[in-house]
Amino acid sequence: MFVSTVSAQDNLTTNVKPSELEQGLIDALNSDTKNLAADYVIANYCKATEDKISTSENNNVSSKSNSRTYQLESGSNITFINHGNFLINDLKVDNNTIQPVNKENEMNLQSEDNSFYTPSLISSVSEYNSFGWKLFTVYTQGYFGYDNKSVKPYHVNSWYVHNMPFNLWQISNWEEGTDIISSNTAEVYSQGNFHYGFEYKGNSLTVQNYYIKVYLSCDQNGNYGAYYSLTELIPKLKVGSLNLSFGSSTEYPRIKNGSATLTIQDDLS
Amino acid sequence: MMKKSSYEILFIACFAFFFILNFINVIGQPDLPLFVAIIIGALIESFTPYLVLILIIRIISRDSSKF
Repeated sequence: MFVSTVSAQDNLTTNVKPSELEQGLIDALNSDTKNLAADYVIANYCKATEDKISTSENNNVSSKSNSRTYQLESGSNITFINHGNFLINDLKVDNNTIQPVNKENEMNLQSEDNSFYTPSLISSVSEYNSFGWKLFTVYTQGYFGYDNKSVKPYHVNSWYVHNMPFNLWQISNWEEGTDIISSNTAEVYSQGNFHYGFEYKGNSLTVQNYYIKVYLSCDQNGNYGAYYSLTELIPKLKVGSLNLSFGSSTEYPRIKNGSATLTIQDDLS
Repeated sequence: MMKKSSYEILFIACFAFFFILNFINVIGQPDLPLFVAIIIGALIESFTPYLVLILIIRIISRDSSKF
């Protein structure tokens, strides 16, 4: 019922079979014939299998591999991480839109001869709690101009959405923009520190702390893909001189990299 | 005046509310370190609302005892 994701990342595991519960969730999402919202399907599945999910961590799949990514029929990717944690990332390609440009970009579009442009791309990553409720989603939108010799990134918009009421997640150090990685690779990115807990006069409790980067990447030939990087930092309690960490430094930071579907363009020459 | 058991029940109710609020905000299944962080967070968070509620109850009961 699933196909392995096409990935440019070495650390994505595509040949490991999902566990029974993971396969169940994949099947539920793929067989959504009534066109119910994916979030509704996920929440219902997690509710129905609540007991099994919490006791499934000792199975062979979870203990052997760090994470497993599978492509859903909708085109989104679901990645299962240990501790019953999963996320969904997606790449939406809008072939019909004329890329919105700002003043600076408009000048570049006119001056560049023999340049081609990718469609408008939107990359997103959604995080879920143990009940299958979507907590938040991070988006980044952009496109690229390329001419077989160089690539130029165009950032359109980046944003995040709190998907659940009573959401305690806060965002700091939010950044968005473009980056030229090398002469033939460029990125459109958004990144920020997603954390929840509380702080009062320098004293703080951080329950969960993620550094999330969602980005689109393209080379000079117009081969583009959507990627993400998640870094989970150690939970901390800081009261005056007391600085207590919940968990060992060997466990943290937990880093997870992944990608959505990679698209190969035809050669321009 | 409230009975001693009423104070305990009020604190437990506050703690339960913030524990659930914290728990549903955790990404994935919480492991032991996260679980400890959630409990400590819920304890600290429930303290202020608990004191405010007691204050309100005392003011109400004081005013009502005048009549």
